[in-house]
This record gives sequence, C-alpha cells and structure tokens, in this order.
Amino acid sequence: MNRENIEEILKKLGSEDVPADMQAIAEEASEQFSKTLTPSRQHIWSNVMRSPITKLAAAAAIAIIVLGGITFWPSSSENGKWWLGPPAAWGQEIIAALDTIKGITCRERTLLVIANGSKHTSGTWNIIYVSHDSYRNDIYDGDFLREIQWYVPDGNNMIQHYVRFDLECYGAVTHKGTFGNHDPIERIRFHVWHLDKADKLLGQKVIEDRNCVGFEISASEYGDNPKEWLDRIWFDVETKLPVWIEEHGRPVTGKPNVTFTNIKDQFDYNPELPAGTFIPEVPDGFVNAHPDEIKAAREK
Amino acid sequence: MKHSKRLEIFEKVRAEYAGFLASVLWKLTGDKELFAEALQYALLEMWRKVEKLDGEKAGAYIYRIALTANSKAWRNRIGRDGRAGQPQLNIEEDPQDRVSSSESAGLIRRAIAQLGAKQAGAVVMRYLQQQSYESIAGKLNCSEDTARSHVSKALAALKSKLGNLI
Repeated sequence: MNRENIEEILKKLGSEDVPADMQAIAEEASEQFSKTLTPSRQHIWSNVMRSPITKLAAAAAIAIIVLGGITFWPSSSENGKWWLGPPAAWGQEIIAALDTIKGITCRERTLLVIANGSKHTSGTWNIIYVSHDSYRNDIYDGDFLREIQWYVPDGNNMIQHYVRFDLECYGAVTHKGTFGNHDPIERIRFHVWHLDKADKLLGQKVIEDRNCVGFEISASEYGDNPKEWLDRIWFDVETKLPVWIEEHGRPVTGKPNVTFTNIKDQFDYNPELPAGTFIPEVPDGFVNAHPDEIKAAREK
Repeated sequence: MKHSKRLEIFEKVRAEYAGFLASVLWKLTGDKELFAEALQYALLEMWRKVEKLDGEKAGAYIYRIALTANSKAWRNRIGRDGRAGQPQLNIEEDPQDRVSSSESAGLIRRAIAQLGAKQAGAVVMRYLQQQSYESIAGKLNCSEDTARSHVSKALAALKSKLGNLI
C-alpha cells in the first residue's frame, strides 16, 4: 500500500456522511447524557423503556441500551456487573449518583507506615459532615472529642471556625478559595473521573455489610505523582456510591521513612442531621484564643 | 465553577459541536458499537473539561476530545498494543492479497487510533475534515510547516503500519 492509496482512502472516508440511524443514536445519547447532568433524574427505567434507541439497537443485534446517556453491553449489565462495561458508562452513573447527594457523613482515619513495614494507626480520627455548601470536621483523640471545625463560605473564601474541647478555646481562620477547594464530594468525583485509568480491578468483597467492587489506580495516572501513591476505592454494587476510599503512600513532612494512608469509611449518604450541625457553637466559658497560646500559658 | 454554570457551558458546546462530533467519530470508527462507545467517552470528557470549552479554543479542545475518545474506544476493542482482535487476513501466506475497500478503510481507522495525538489530529483535520494547513496549524497551535510535517509523518506512519496489509 503506497502513500497515494492511503490518501485516497482517507479522502473517501472524509466524504462519508453520518448514516441517519447513527445520527439518531448520537442525538439521543447526547440528549440523555445531558439529562443525567441535571440534579433531578427521575423515572430512569421508564425512560429506557420508552427510548426508541433501545429498540433500534436491539434490532441491530448489538443490543445496546441507552440508559441516561450510558451504553451498557449485555454481558455486563444482565449479570449486574456494571463495572465490566465501558468505564465511560458507569463512571457517569457514579457521578450522577453523587450529584443527587445533599449531604454525607464519613469517618476518616490515618495509618502511618514505617519503611520497615510496621504500621501504626493514628490516635486521632475524624467524622466529616458535608452539606451542599458547608462542612464540619469532628476530630477525636481515641474516644474523646478533641475538636470541632466548621467550614462555612465567606464570599470567595472559607472561614474555619474551631472549638478545642481539650484546651477550652475557640477561634476562626480564613482560608482562601471557595467550598469547591475543600469539598470531599468533589474529591470523590475526582477519583471517579480517573477510574477509566484504573490499573487494577480489585474484585468484589463485602464491606460494612454491603456488596462492593473495588478499583486501584496509581496517582501517577492523574498527575505528576509517584507511582507508589495508590488510591483504592470501593463502590456499593447496588447504589454505585463509595463505601471505602484509601489513599496510600503519601509522604509525611520531615519524615522520609514514613508514609501515611488516609482511609475514609462508614459513609452515610443523605443522613438526617440536627439543624445546627453546620452552625458553629461555642460552649460557655471557652476563651477566644489560639491553641498554641493556651498550651504556652499552661506550660508556664 | 458552579454546577449550573458548567451545565450552561456544556449545553452551549453540545449544541454547537454535536454534529461535528458525530461526523468525526463516525468517520473514525465506521462501526455502530465503536461509534456509540466513542461518543460516550467524548461526552463524558466534554463534561469533565467543560471549563476549558468556554472560550475561543473550544474547537481545538473538541478535536482533542474526539480523538482521545476514538482511541479509547478502539483500545478497548483491539488492546493497548493494537494486537487483539486482528482481522483474519492471512497476510503471512500471501502478502500480495488485497483486501476489500471497506476492510482497507477499517484498517486505516484502526491505525489512526494508534497514532500520536498530533499526527492523528493533523491527518483527521486534513483528510477527514478537508481543512487547510492554516486552520490545522491554528488548532494544533503550531506553524503551517509543522502542521504539514505532522500530516506527512502521519501518512508515513500509516504506510508503515499498513504496508503489508492493504
């Protein structure tokens, strides 16, 4: 095959029009995809049953089903193993599921890993509460609630209010950037965006009584990060919402022989929270001071 | 960026480029299943990168998105190294065999999906979209001479890949 023949075929390809049935599939898929991006996605199955594309594709023996703009292949959808289908498809489903979430609570823990292989669970752990525009971080030291942090929007910035129960003080710090810079749901979305680059399918296992499927991806796949930074994320097979997220191999400042693993679990989606959850509240008798000031005063 | 703003940009871009996307992806896939999959990838990537599509460079980004989506869809079918599911052409026994025109087109599409981004972009713009070198240079953010070079190298790469097949 010489260069002229290739050019000739390319020119012929260039003159091809999109067949009417492909045009119809493109328009329908594009419309349906767009609908999945709006927060209120209802009666999805009834839409599927009404979709002319479903019939068209079935007749073509390819048997694709356009579901909210997403193509499922029978081999993966009929047995419920959606994750075996094209990542573009179920990735969008997961994002759509996340977009319906109004609030989340989850637990966050840190595991320190020493170069010799020994592991040490940090004594502190957090419960995170997230709403549509605010979030709150309850920091425990063992069983003791040591601190509550409330992050509330303030124009283009966020104000972090804190109450230290161990030091009986409170205060506030302004952070640059909007809620989007801090939003844990955005962080989950970030993980989902990159699942099509996942290095490993971790298979299925039961976590917190839920049937889950897991993926592993190196952070080098989505940024200029070391290959050793691994993320593992487990989704509920039924709801397609994250159940367990691990970020491995992250460095500890000033300790080259130590890395840490961040683990988020015990997710509760759309929990019923008390009205005042995201409103900073200072106990009587606490003083407005930086924790370091209190510590210094106590050491004197 | 707020979700509502992202949606607004996405809808604008979708309206403007839907026909273009369908056209490019059909020419690059020529297969219903691949077309549908590439389209899904493209729509998803448009949503992911929607912030970048709100400006003069939108057209160039859409090209990139379409080509990446096409490569992903092909990669799922033929594997990362392009070896999976090779057509049964029996070329080893008789290199002089010629394949039909539609098979040739299929092989060229498959080979384009394995080209680097700039070469693939250049050859698609030049031959599948019949664009001028000036326009190609603008979209690839390079000089006209460089655009010509990308096209030429792409053709050479295709010839190298397909020399014995077609």
